[in-house]
Amino acid sequence: MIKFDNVTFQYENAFSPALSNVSLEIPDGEFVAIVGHNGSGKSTLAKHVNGLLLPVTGTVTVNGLDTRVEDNLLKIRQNVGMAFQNPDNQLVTTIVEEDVAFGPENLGVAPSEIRARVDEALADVGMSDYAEFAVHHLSGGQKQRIAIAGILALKPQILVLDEASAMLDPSGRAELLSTVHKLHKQGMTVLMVTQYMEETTGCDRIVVMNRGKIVLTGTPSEVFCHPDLLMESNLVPPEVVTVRDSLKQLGFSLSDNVLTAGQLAEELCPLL
Amino acid sequence: MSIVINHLTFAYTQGGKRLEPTLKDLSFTIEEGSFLGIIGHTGSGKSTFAKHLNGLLSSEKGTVLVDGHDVAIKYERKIVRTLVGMVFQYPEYQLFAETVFDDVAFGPRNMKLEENEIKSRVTDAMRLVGLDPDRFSSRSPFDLSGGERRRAAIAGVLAMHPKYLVLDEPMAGLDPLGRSEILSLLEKLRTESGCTIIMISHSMDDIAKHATKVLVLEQGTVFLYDTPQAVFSHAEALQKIGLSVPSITHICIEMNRRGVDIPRTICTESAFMDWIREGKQHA
Repeated sequence: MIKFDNVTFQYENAFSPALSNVSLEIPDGEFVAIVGHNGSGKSTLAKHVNGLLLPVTGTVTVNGLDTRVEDNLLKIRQNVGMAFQNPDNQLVTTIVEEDVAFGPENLGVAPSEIRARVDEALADVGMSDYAEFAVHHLSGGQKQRIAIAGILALKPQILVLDEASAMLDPSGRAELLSTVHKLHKQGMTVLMVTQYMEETTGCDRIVVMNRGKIVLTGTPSEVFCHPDLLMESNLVPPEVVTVRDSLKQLGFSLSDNVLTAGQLAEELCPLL
Repeated sequence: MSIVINHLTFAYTQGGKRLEPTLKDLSFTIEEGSFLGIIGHTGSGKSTFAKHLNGLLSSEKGTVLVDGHDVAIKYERKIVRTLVGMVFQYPEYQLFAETVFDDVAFGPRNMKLEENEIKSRVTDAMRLVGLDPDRFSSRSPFDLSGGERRRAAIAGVLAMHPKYLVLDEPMAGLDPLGRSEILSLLEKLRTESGCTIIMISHSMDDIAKHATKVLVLEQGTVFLYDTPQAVFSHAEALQKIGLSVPSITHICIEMNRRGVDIPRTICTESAFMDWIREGKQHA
């Protein structure tokens, strides 16, 4: 369980806080998407989960451990794996399996155990066939999956993705998203910061941030019922939702659960 | 006038050795006043192609003629570079001057224009990208938000008054509002100043909405070159080469699957809603 309790944070020399009075609870096993425009505070929020940033006031706890207590940080970081935007900044060795082994080696895990963890992590991200490949020959999407495998080898309970898909092409983004969904199905708690609304339709909950505050939270179908609130936060719902709403205005009765092309066709076709 | 690409083939070299060509025998014409969307998988040759349009790269095989000027010939390239403006990926990383004004003025100053002319070009370009000259001219580019920085960088290219504007993923990393600001700016440039827009993008929705022509590159060859309607009607072929299709095309495919006969050439929301309204009238 991740718990933000009235968290405020301000960067040095900034005019206004990046987070103000943010309270949020993420139970184990939930898949939460954090969305917001550039500068809304969404990445700042993500960096609080493993204590990369510490609250100025308020507290962040992970499984009850306060991130401001230095002795807790190792434990928290073993539990919270974090993936960032640029795949090239996250890989440290030249060979795929060595990179995935880097984390557990540093923790002093026994070699036989490391082998097992690396194999399992690569299988989880669908990259087993690439174990002995040179890292620089991989595509962006593959590199991000290797970065995530490196996190998985540390056996975290929580995965935080800070715009991990931002620099990938559409097929790389799709690969990454399906990997994350698979991990979530296996029980992983996922906190995904993203600007792509289409990526959030399969999440349990969406948290919308604007100017350092949480302005809206709910299931995807609930959140996308408020296009006006999204607009105020400089966001737009996925194209399918926009089309759904135009169709509703023409008199078609479509449910709020329509978020994907397939769902739209399913409800619309019988009405035509 | 137009950009004419004729049998263009290009290979990078490594350690003196010629690699497998990145561009293979490209031939087509980019019409003046059009909005060309370039799509393709990572490594398909999109950015390499874009760099040929102002002679940053040039090849011994085939030609690129911009309004008749050959980009491979040194003295012609000078003219080409006044015609073709280039906006690279993450152009805000190239901001360097102390003020926004000086940064935007860098290009025009290099063109040795009169100071009055420079000033009017800079303020015009800033207004065009939505940065109020009174508010932003004396600010440091590094104090701006991500979206503002991107627009300042684009203003620097616009101040050179290019006839053709080439942009390599101009919306990458911007939030939805920042994206739509850039897109409406491009639309305005095209309709009001007649600027030809050549944009590389991964967003099929944006391409479907704004492009008048779409170039699909695949392993350095022209896979398709046609209107967005025609290109996106080949959804299966595009998916086979690892590309996605616009959301509206997805909806049409799903409807076809359920027995509704909606044409695959529909790829924008407005075309989709028109089709629905027409059907309603008949019913």
